[in-house]
Amino acid sequence: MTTIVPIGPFHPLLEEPELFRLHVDGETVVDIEVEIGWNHRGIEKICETKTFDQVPFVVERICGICSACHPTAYVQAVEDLADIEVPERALYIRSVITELERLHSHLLWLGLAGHFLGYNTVFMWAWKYREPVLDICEELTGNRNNYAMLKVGGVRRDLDESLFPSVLERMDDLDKHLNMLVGAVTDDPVLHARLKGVGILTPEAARAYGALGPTVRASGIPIDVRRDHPYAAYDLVDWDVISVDSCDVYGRAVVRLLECLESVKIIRRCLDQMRPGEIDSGVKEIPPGEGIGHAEAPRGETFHYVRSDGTNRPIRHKARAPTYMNLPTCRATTVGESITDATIILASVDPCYSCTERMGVYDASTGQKALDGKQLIKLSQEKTRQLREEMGE
Amino acid sequence: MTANFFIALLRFLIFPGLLFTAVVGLVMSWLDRKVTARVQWRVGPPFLQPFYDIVKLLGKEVIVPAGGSRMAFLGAPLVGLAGATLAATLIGTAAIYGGGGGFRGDIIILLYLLVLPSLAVILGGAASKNPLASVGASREMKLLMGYELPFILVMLVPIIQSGGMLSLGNLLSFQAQHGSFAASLSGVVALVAVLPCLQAKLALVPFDQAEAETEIMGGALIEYSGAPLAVFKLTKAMMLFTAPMFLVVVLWGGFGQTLGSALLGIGKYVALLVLVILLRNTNPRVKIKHAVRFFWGPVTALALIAVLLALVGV
Amino acid sequence: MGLKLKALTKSPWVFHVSAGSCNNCDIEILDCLCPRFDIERFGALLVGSVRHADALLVTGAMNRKSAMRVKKLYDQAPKPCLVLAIGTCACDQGIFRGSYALTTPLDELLPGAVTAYVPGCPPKPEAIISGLVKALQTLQDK
Repeated sequence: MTTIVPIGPFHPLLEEPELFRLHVDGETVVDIEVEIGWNHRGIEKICETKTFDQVPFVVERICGICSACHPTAYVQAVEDLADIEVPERALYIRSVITELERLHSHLLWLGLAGHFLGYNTVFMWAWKYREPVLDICEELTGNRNNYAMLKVGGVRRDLDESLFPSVLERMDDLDKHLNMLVGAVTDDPVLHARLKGVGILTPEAARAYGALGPTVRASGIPIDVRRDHPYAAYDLVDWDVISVDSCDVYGRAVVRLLECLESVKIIRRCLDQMRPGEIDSGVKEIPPGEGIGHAEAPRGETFHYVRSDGTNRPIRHKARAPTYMNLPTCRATTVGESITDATIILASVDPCYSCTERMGVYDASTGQKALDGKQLIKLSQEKTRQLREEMGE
Repeated sequence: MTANFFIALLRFLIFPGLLFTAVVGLVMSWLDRKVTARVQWRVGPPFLQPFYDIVKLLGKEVIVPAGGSRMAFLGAPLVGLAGATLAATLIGTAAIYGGGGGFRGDIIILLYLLVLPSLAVILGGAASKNPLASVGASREMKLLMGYELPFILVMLVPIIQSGGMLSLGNLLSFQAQHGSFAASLSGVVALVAVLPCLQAKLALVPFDQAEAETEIMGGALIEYSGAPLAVFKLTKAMMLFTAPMFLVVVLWGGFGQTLGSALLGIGKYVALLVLVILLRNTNPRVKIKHAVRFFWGPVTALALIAVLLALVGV
Repeated sequence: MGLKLKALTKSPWVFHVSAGSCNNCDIEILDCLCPRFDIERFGALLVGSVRHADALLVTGAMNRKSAMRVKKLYDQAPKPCLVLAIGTCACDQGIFRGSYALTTPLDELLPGAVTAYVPGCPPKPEAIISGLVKALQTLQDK
């Protein structure tokens, strides 16, 4: 007998609305459906009504936790379109901001993962270490999130050099704490039991689904836009792509933790190598044409496409977020596992729905289909009955 | 006869029954939250927090889910509360009045009474007609079957050691004369084996699968609101008092008759509780499959060893 | 002020509803639970079921799909139940105003239910806590 267990759309597992329908037999998941669109805001259409200089503010709000990566990809698309040279200092600043974001995003994920496992101590500790990163963001950019730093042709604000010593000091602290967390995760036998061998995504499946970011790097495929298609200052500093081949949830956790250490390294080197200079190339006109931009968001590759007809607004803007590619892998990873594991597996791709849902085709009639808990139960009961009839009971 | 009845009623409703256990239990649930907060580098809730929570819930609207069974849905929390109260009354009476407080076979009745709060969760979850609540109820049932076996085995240890005494009062006077069971080898093994069972009885991490907030949104209690939810929370808080107390009385010498021994008894209880709280904060939730395997495997084996040791008399 | 009301102001359990937000506000709400801000000091807990909630923290610009759900969730919550609009989007739809995917703002969706507006993109955790405290004060005034 199969029952449908809804996860979402408003579920404590997800800080954003999303609906997963788990078809379960007892506690085993036999099938999964994903329903997106709870977060769709029509951003691509909004972007067409804004000027090139205003769009970064909109794309920043595609997703709060990727609020440096989306603008980076967008400005790179416009720079690709108009063939703009960006000053070196601006490149370094872009790297610093995106790495700070990766740091707090990965720590956030680690905390939430602990929370999903009922391990609230990990949640609190990871978020405690996340706070200094947000402080640094606030000191350097003026806001804890949504930094408003990126601009076509450069960055909007310079970084204050007098803050660097204290930033570096806090990076040292963070390094220590991160190493402690890595030790805690790799030594905990219960975490091993919960995470190892769970949610297997084979390299073949990862390739077939086109998975990105830590999800695919934990399946032994070391792709990373920062190295494969360098942007900002990633080819000017020395760092490593982290990849493990365990293919499971545990591997995805380890990749993220080790990437945090790499981010600390990148930030240190960038601050060290940064020389005074211009931060903006002063773009005035955007010619007709089209351009693409990539950026490695904490969850994987973010891709933006912009087309211009020579006016001051893009006539088409398209964004693809990493979760759009990573989410469908849940079919490969959750089927055959138990409900208990399904939640952590779904979480292990670090799904970011606000990113994913700007562009899904929206059918007004589906809005009418939104079901409440009672209807869902009814639906689930009906489905069970149907299935029973089909199975000839 | 009437006087006896009134004394029994007072014991049930006020001391050491409902009122006393509720107050102590709520204070202990504050301790639980406070220690948890300190472990997590937080400040934690104020002292009166659990009382505010209960009063607030009592004042809220009660919603019965359509399609659910009204009687079972509203009755289930009361069953749990009654079970926890009666258990607390029996244990408390025996602990205070020593040999005179219990009756023959009350330890067996207690084993049943201590199951009632879990049964109430199963009943309530099943009555609320919510798929997540059913998952919660089925998990609670699996867990119950898992930990009851070693729990009952452990209870054999004091009975064997005392040569077949089946009353709390007699067990206590036996311990007063011969020293507590926990001082013997079999008693220590029994205490170690019963600790995870206690954790599961109190529905605390790593054995809180039935109420796993992040997996099944509060599980069996998902549809509860207002007063019935308050009763569930109260029962849970009372169990925080009753279950460790039961172990202290049965295995660990109880509270004695002097002030010193009473303080020692309270110390033992608090130590047991803090151990439980720390275990809860340093472990992730395990899968229900693993939990049952754990209880039927190592824990049952340990309990059997304790029983065998008791049989050979060490 | 009755005992019930006093208990309510001392123990506001919050349920978090995200209706077309960019998840920044949602993360800052979670941040309120964390060591630096720790709203449990005020007795507030984040609960998993709307049946246990005393306050709904609503974020986001109300897109067509989730607006229906927000209304239903409010109906399912046991009363009295506060509603807080967290973030500029929930207050007035912010930068997304005018998009084809959005319905009415939160206060038109739930007329008369919204107790406090916490603007900001995203509002800082301090602002969210302050909003909650002020919303509870309105209960005391009644």
